[in-house]
Amino acid sequence: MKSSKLIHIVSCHAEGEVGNVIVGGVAPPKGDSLWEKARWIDQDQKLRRFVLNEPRGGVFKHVNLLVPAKNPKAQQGFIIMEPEHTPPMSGSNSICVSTVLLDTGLIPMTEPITEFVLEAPGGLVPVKAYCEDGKAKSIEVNNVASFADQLDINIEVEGLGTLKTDTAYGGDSFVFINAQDLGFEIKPDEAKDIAEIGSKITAAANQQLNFTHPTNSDWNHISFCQITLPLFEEEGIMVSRNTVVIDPGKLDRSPCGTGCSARMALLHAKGELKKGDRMIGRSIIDSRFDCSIVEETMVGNKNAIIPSIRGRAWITGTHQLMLDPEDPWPEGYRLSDTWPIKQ
Amino acid sequence: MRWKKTITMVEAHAEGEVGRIVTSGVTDIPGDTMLEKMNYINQVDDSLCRFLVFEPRGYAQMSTNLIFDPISKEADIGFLILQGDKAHAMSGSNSICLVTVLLETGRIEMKEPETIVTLDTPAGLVRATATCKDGKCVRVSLDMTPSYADQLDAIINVEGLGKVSVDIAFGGIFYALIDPSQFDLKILPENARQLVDIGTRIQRAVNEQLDISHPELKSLKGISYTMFVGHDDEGEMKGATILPPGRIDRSPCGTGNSARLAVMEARGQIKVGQILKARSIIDSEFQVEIIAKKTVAGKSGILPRVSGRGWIHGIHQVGVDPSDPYPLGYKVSDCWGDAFDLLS
Repeated sequence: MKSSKLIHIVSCHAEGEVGNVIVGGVAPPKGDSLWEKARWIDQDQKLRRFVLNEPRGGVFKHVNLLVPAKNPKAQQGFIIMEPEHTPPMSGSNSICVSTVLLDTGLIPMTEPITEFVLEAPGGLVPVKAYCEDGKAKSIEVNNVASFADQLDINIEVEGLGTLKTDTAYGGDSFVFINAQDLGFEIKPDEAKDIAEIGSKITAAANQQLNFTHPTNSDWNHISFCQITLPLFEEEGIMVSRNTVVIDPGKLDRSPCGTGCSARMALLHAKGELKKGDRMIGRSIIDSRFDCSIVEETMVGNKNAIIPSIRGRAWITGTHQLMLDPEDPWPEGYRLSDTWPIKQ
Repeated sequence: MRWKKTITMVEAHAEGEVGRIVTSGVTDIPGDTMLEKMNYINQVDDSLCRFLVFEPRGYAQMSTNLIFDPISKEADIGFLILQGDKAHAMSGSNSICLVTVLLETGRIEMKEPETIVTLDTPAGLVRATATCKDGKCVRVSLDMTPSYADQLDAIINVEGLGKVSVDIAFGGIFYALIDPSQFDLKILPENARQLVDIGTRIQRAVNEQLDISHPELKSLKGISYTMFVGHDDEGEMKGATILPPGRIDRSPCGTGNSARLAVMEARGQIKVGQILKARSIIDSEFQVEIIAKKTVAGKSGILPRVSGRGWIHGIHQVGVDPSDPYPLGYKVSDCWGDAFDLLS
């Protein structure tokens, strides 16, 4: 057995969405800030291809790279690699990273609550971890400032006609569609169809609607389509059943932390939720995030909220990735059967 | 970190197709033969299969192999292949991964320039010859199941496609071999989803419209897979086997090429001893040949041999936290495909 590379990974999932964490074997990327480091990873592509392409990865995974924090208020920095994007922030990934840091002892655990600050490329993420018997039972993150952008705007989608949408940012950028307008109930056996239609909607939204983050002009596209059912009530709390279509065409198995943040920002803008209100996020596999609006704030000249997201994660494995120097596919490969072509 | 179960795997791929080998954490599966062990997983308890294969610990485009002390005295190792639908009896690419891992991690002593490893499988003994150099298993050659052409140029009616011509052949399991030029399609990675869609529709039609059975293996009825068979720009054989519920074999496919060789022999397109290149959708390559003619179940058939290369790409320990609500995992149709009706 020969290997010219050895990358150490702790595998984890948060409410069903895989967010693996690279804990060793990769030198910190170039850049003076977390954002610049994330751009470097995004442009270089080599690490993403090695860990996410077959045979080592797959489109359903995300991989997080731990890097030293730049901001003195933060204990740990991390860069999120999704199949296509290197986003400012991700709820499920920040929950996986926090769980791995605590459950493997990289950050000392204090029971019943451990508090620390993560630094994501999109900003600081305060973490409150609820710990019991040596396990981080659930993680509450205060997400970056989230805001509604365009409300009740029509887009034309080939084969689907005119659709009424909203756009919002919750650590990443979303176009929202009512599942009932597409005839979906958001069930696992609809996943293939939802992924195909959602990818078309994201592509159409990027052609017809503009999105630019008011204080970070580098983020100037819509990343995801979020398909939602109308809110309903469970135990006196509003429930958002949703699924988020992640480029190039897979569904978030978790309720999507940035997605729930963006939806709360929308509901806040529409007067349906206010500061202090709670919301339950429900995913396509019925997993759950507990969300709330913590603060009202501004992003540039836009009204915004600070959302909190609470969810659970579990370590599923440890992994050493290797590369035989004679392997003909050092950067792996992708096929359109399981890795859809970006629309 | 708390785990109530830990299983270690060495991960390898053979010409692009992933076969993970469980090296610790599974002691035994009930059964006095490899076939009984396979039937135990398929008929009594598939929890280990689900745990290893489904998300979040596994994914659609790979297999996980369990290894055992061999039952047969002539064999060096016993093994079973776990996939998303069930445990399978034999696979060329997984045998190549297995032999590569056993030799390169020292479980079986490597002898250069050649090591013979005999595999005890539910389908019988398989003899693997490994070419070894400088501590690396460079190539694994497998003598495959005797194969034969069953029906040439069978015409079927396929929903949305009209009349389609296929060859039916046995290569350890039954295949429908399809010329993709009928649909103006090339075997390329960007066409994978379209090939899967057409292949699954053809598989349904073949099993409805053609009578396919093995004279000796009574339980084997109908085709298990479809395989697109074409040629690349260099004129070499190129193939893509469709694996329900919705993906393509990344390797050129051992059993599929055995079936293809039988059809080529029946058409007079290949001679015994002639070595050909058989490429996959990602342009990886097996060398394939007919080593002898052989009567199979009263039909004129062949003894096929395929060889290919394997590479180790990781070591993986999977576990389960006692509070994890998904100890048996989940599969969602976006990544797994939706032709669940074709799983037997």
